[in-house]
Amino acid sequence: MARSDPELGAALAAGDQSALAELYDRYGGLAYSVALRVLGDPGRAEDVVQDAFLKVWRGASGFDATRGTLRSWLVAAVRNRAVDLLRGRSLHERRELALRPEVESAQAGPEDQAVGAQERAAVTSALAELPEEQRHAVLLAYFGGFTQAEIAELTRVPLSTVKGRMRLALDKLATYLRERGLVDV
Amino acid sequence: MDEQVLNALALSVERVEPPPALRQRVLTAARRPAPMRLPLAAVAAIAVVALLAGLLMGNALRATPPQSGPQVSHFTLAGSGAASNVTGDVTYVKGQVAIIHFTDLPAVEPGRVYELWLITAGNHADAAGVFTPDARGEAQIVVNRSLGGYKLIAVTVEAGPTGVSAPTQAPEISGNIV
Repeated sequence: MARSDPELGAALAAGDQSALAELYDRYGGLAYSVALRVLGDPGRAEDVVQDAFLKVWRGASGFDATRGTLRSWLVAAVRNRAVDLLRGRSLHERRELALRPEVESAQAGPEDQAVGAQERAAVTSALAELPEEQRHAVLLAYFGGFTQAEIAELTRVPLSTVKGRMRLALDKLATYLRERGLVDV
Repeated sequence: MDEQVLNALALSVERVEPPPALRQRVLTAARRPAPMRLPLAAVAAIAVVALLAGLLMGNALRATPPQSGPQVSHFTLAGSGAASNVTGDVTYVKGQVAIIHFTDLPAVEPGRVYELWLITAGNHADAAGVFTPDARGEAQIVVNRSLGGYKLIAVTVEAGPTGVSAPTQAPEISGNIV
């Protein structure tokens, strides 16, 4: 019987290798997809996934379930590591990667066939409802690792405008996602 | 809340099945003690040293006066308060790139990140990237720009995952640019 995420977190903290395998089976696909989305490079995406799982494995004793889910911790580790690797690339390349359109997967994996597909549809819909400039601002921040000042420079608008767009976008996304119970990944 | 909302964007990605071998690679790596991998910064630093060595060797072989090549300086950032044990070793190739290797960084709370700042003599701070330490309390960051016009480098703890546009607190780690 599959363990819940909190149970998995406790098992990881106890050094249970089978818990790491279970964690990978549950979220390895998501982790790899996020890394690949940020970097656009399968080889480096694999490196990032390995680093992120090892970070969770070695830091599991410090995991506090009251501050977030195991999945959100893992995904944040993937995203942050991937963005670190992005910083050596040109601004143009980072921008192109962050804003490239998502495409529907012709062959969704098992994870997608379960809850993943519903979550993806909800978040994608929430993003699609944002005005383009707000959507671009959050995509550049999250997938491109750009600061608000960098986004202002990149999009040639005042910093205050970027801040306003981010605020509006995050408020709308929060409302949309909260209504669907998806605020915490 | 903002961080949670931003993190939810991860769920929008197209799902791609990872290579089958990756699972075993992760599990095998976890069975080993923390590997002593050469960090990116070290690789970059070695490359810089090799480049300089090549330039110097070339100059010597040509028996010509030294050419004006890249100038490299080293200086250190130091922590204070809760970060008093932190050291940041900076290798700066003048006008081009700075590579910073931090050690003994305290872990940051979930949702928080370290943010690097380049500060002018007039106390204007430009964001230069965010980072989090690994399990050993280490982090490397590459500042891919000239430090010309800046007086010091500083680090604050800010809201993640993307950091903020201006520091919200006094620096925990800082050092003069040499």
